[in-house]
Amino acid sequence: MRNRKVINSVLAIMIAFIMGGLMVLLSGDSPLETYSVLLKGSFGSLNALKNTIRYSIPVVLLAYSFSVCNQCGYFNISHESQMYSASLAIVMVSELTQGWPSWLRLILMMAAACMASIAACMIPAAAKFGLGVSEVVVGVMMNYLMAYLTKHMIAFSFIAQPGSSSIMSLPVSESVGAVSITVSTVVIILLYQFVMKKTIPGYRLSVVGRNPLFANASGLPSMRIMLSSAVVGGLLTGICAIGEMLGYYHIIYSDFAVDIGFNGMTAALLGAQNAIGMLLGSLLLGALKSGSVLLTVVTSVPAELVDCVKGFVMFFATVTFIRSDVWMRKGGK
Amino acid sequence: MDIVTILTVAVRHAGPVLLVAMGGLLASRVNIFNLALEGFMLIGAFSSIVGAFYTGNVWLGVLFGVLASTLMIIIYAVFIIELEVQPVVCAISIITLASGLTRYLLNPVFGVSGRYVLSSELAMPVVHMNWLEAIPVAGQILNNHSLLVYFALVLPFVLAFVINKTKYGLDIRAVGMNEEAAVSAGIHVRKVKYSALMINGILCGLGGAELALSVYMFNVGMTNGRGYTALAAITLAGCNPLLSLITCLLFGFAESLVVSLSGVGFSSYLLGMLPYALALVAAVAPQVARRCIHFIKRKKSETEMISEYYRN
Repeated sequence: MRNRKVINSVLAIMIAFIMGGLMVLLSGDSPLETYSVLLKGSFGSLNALKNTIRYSIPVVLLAYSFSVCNQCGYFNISHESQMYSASLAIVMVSELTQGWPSWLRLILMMAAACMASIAACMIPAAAKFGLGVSEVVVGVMMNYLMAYLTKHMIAFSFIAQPGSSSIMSLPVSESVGAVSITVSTVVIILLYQFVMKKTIPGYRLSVVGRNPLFANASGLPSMRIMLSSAVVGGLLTGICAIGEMLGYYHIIYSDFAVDIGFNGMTAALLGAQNAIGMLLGSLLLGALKSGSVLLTVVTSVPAELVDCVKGFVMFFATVTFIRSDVWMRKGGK
Repeated sequence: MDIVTILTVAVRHAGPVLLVAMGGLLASRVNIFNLALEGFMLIGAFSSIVGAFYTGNVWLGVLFGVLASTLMIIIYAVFIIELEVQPVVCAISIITLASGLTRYLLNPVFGVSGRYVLSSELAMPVVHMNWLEAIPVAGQILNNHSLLVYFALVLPFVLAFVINKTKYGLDIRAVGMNEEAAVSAGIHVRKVKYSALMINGILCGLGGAELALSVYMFNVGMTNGRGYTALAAITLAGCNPLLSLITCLLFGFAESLVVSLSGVGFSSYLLGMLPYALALVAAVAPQVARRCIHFIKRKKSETEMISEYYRN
């Protein structure tokens, strides 16, 4: 079972890269050169490796956020809106608490970011579990709404930076180091694995995920557990937003989360929602992102190739190339 | 800024959404909730611009858009019907792929990044009808649109006829209601599903072509959620073609309000939220209404039962 999933993901990635290579070939460049530059830009030097890890970390967190929600049947694709609301909360708190002690401000910012992200994650979940509306439509609408609201806030409200040529928010002075972000991400992942595998709440979650009707019949409050999976998903996205805002950006730019949007889901699908698989999937996406920087510098191939390859990876990751039912019959009992 | 202009622009904006919505309606009538409308529309828009650029003819461009979008939907159909991929996952990956492909291909094809504007000779021509001028307000609103917008306005009536009055429509309804019963009644379920999806693809291609060629340009992410909006419109209308016409016109009206009011000095960002907020409400409203009606009915029957009990 596990072997088949690994082969499946590897096949998906290979086909995606071949398709991407064909695209490059058709537009008159050399695919081999392109891929070697991508590889060099993502793993070729210590600096490149650092960048790869830096871009992988948000993807890992989003992949886990997607995976925990998906286990309970909630298709969490409103990551973009969660990122926007969390970062808006961070900048607002930072503006409102000018002059307070630094540690208090940091704690308040993080708490506000997590709360905002959880709230944004709960809206589609409530629509799905409460009303039976497709959470995808609601989630995507939330993404567009939050993107516009963010643009409005960073252009016309008290967090807008006056006198800048393009719209952006005021900077946040507090910051978190890259090392502590990496370490805390690893801790969060380990903690998550422990909770899911070894504790009662984790077990309940997986029971509800496997069969909500059975869980209901055996007396588990499945509605509450489903909603709490959405809370965990929102929390993980909030942590991702904290890392991005306080670690790297410090300023909200217009559309800064658009690039991140579906990455978490792609990594989760690629890793077949398995702990190590999702890590490797995120590493692939992070490597693509950090390699694309060198790609534009060295070759004439546009960086958008990476979007294209990402699309193909996701597309082929959905297919099970090796059908389980066929194997069952042949392996026969 | 008079109301007639706003309504004229509303009809123009409603055109592409209407075409795509009708496609989605047909798919959802055969039990396929086609979330990937957005992706097919984007592919249609991009390919129509490419086609018009290479052939120098608008209508060949439209044909190109339709072909590309149909090809894509055949792949989608094979994925979800033959390979049994989860439709939602497949739809999202189609949208990601469409956005990635158009983003990348813009560079090798046109040598630009972000957006490409064709020469204005390749704009979708508008049809001017003299006899419409005689009618005071409606004539003005309905005049001077492109052929595809008129097609979109007629389409709901055609679909209503096809679904309700023809043999093919009967097959579609049977498959949508109960697949197993349809099989036992001798209906070729697979064929019906494929054909409905093919028509969906053609309509998405037309919608994308109208969207791109009416302004003779393509920019990245041009569809801007219109595929989802179309889905929300048919959800609100309960998959009824004629009601969908009204809801799509409503979305067109919201979009035209955004265009006209932002010129007067409202915050364009807040106004930009209007169509999406409307779509959100449209997607949620039918379910809320159903719950409310259910609740009221239950209360009513309960009170009736109690009063009956005491009367005896």
